[in-house]
Amino acid sequence: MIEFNHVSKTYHQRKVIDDLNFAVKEGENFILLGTSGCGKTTTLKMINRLVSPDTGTVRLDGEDIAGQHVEQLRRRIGYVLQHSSLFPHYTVAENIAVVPRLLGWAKPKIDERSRQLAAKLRLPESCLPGYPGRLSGGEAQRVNLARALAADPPLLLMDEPFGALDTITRAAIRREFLDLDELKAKTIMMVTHDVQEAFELGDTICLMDAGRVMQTGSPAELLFRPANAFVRDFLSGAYTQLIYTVVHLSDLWSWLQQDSDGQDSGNIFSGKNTVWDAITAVPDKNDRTLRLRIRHEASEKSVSLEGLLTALNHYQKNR
Amino acid sequence: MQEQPTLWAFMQQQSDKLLDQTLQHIGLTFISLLIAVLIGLPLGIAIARKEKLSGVVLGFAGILQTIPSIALLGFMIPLFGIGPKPAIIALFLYALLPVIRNTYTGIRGVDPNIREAAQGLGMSSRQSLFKVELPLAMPVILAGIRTATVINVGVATLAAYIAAGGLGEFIFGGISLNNTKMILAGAIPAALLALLFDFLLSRLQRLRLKKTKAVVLPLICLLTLSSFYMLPAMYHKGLLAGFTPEFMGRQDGYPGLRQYYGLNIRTVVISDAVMYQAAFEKQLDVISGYSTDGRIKAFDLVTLADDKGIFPPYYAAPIVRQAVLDQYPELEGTLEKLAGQINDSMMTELNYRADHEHQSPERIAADFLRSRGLWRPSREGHKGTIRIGSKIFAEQYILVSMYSMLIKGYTDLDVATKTGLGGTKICFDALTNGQLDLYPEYTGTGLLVMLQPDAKTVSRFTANKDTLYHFVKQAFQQRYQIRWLSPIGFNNAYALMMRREQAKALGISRISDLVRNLR
Ligand SMILES: Nc1ncnc2c1ncn2[C@@H]1O[C@H](COP(=O)(O)OP(=O)(O)O)[C@@H](O)[C@H]1O
Ligand SMILES: [Mg+2]
Repeated sequence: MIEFNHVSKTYHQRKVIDDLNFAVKEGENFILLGTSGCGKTTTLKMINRLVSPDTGTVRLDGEDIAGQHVEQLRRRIGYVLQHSSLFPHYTVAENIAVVPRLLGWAKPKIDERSRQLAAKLRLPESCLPGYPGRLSGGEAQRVNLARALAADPPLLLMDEPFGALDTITRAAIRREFLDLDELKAKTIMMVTHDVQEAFELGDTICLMDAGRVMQTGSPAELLFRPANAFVRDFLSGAYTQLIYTVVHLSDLWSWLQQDSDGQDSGNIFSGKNTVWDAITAVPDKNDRTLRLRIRHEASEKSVSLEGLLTALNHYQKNR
Repeated sequence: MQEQPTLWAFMQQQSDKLLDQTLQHIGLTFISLLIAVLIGLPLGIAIARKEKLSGVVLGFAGILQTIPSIALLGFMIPLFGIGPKPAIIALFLYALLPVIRNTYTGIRGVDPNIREAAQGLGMSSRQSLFKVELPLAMPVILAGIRTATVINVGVATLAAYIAAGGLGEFIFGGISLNNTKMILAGAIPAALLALLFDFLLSRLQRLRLKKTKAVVLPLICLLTLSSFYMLPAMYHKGLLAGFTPEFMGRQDGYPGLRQYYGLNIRTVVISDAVMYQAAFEKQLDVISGYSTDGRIKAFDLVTLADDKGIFPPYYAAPIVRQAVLDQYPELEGTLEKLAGQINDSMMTELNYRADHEHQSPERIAADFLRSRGLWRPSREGHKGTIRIGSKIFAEQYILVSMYSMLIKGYTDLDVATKTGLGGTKICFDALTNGQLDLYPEYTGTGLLVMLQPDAKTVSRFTANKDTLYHFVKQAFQQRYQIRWLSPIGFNNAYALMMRREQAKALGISRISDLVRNLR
């Protein structure tokens, strides 16, 4: 859907983007990961032409965006900025309605869409007529997302969308975010400097450093087959934790021990869930009696948390 | 003392004029403000987008702002004449800086993330400007407009100097006439206007204004207010007279002309600094001048005969604090050397050299004293300092120069001159407060402005120049301990003047002819 071909950008004689090449497939969650200042935002802004490359081309659905009508292009792309950027003089509802209005939607359609989005993003309808100044950080970020999604664009660009939130809210919103059906069909390109976030949300991760791509691939590829020392070192600090997010329960199936003499936690997981999904769902990790039910290919197992971790150990040894 | 009406009674009595002046004042303020907004707002937007131009534009507008308002009005006269046009242009120039600067600051102050969001969501540059940047900058822009409004209400009082009307007519009339009520009748409404507009704009600033409405609404308000200026101008026509604020208010000025001659002419108020030239340039037909003014000759004007004798004599004489005369006995004799030395035509000639040939008052004074054998080099004495004041016209400057040369040449005293004091009230107050020791004053002014006796006394004393002089001299000595020394000789009385060729064409040589012509 998006293609970068030999894209470079120089600011004040400094190459901040250096020969960038990557492709984003339709429907995937594509994460730009890297330390701050490595050129993620600049890369993202090249897609909606807030920044234009010095050399190279950016294609959207096969067409060079440089030749397209810039405002129309932007209206087709959802954009969530790094910093809070709601219009303070617009009500929440008006903020959400910005792009539909620019596109000339009829008022009833706009109203319906705003209410629908508010419901999906769990914004109380009562906050729609108010001004954004009164919203909490989490609410503001939901409105920001709603504004980007209002015209139902096929592509969503998000620049550290959870960056301004505290860790707890951030983790919670991330979960919700994964579950939003509104986002399931969309191509999402998201920027983050948070490795954990990248691994939780990304189908594909593009790790950047100093304006260059270090490696593009699935989370597991980056973790288990780093392309170079930079990638390895970048991920090594959080390695153990990242494993939980890249290993799926199906990967562990053969090592999982059925252990049903305990208390069922009520959660049922599938093989597509990660170890991280399973662990975070357990409310009290010290309670050894809790059992998780996992379904995979027509069979089901009940396992303890300990059993899960033991299976993970076996998996790593045998990988 | 004549019974003085209370301020409220005065304002009621003058309510027609007060209303005219207030409307004119509002009109002047807002027409100029409107133009400033129409030009300053786009300019501010332009420099907010083209950062490179901002230094030049803001610098230029800043320089305009530093020109003293009186001087700016002065610059306008040769370019645009008198009347509302130059006044509006001057006010516009003053209002420009706050409008441009605040528009610029307001737009630059919009959070760049918000501007980027507008762009990123697909707003065009125009849409971003009108839907996001201007509404967000509006409180700052309105603050600028508010500043400009308050400045304009204040500066618009000066418009009265160049026949543009406004509440300055009362203020300056009151200053020249030593009439506090008249000053207040102009100053209080002006202050109230400033407060009112300041308040209204502060409310507007607080409203949650959005989108284009935010820009259009205040503009419409401005337009409506501006049209007020046109109202007073609509119900007059015919010959146009320009009178000084002082002449407009004095019993021996326009009110006397109305009472005794039945003169009823369309009038504008104007400063005597520009009045003669305006008559010469046909912007005015009749003006109130002084008989000895050099510009009568320079601009080829004729004075109309006062056939009913309503203008009292204005014989000039130095008036001196008695205390100073006592302290330096040699002073009196020195000042008296000028007594009876200058007659009307001589004074007109001296004034002509100053006003038209632009010779310095010092040179004119020295030449004259030499021709009379009175000149002596300065003795550079330091026995004491005599402070001499003068009002703001050439004749006074010349007389003051003569007195200062005489004092320095004939005594061991030094002289400090305070020239260009705004009007009679300022000079006289300075004299009674002991901030001045002497200045040249006129018998008519002494009677009508300072002593203000009842109408009967006025008509009894103004008939004869000698009885008037003695009455004034005695009254000043008693009331203020101020001495009138002997008259210098000339009578600088009020006179109505017209352009020579127009007066001839209309067959006007006396005030009565003028009155007949107007019927
Ligand atoms: N408009 C600009 N002008 C000059 N330098 C810029 C500009 N935008 C970004 N940069 C520089 O380019 C580099 C990459 O910036 P950015 O893409 O914002 O990084 P990231 O989003 O990864 O933190 C930084 O060093 C930044 O200072
Ligand atoms: Mg960034």
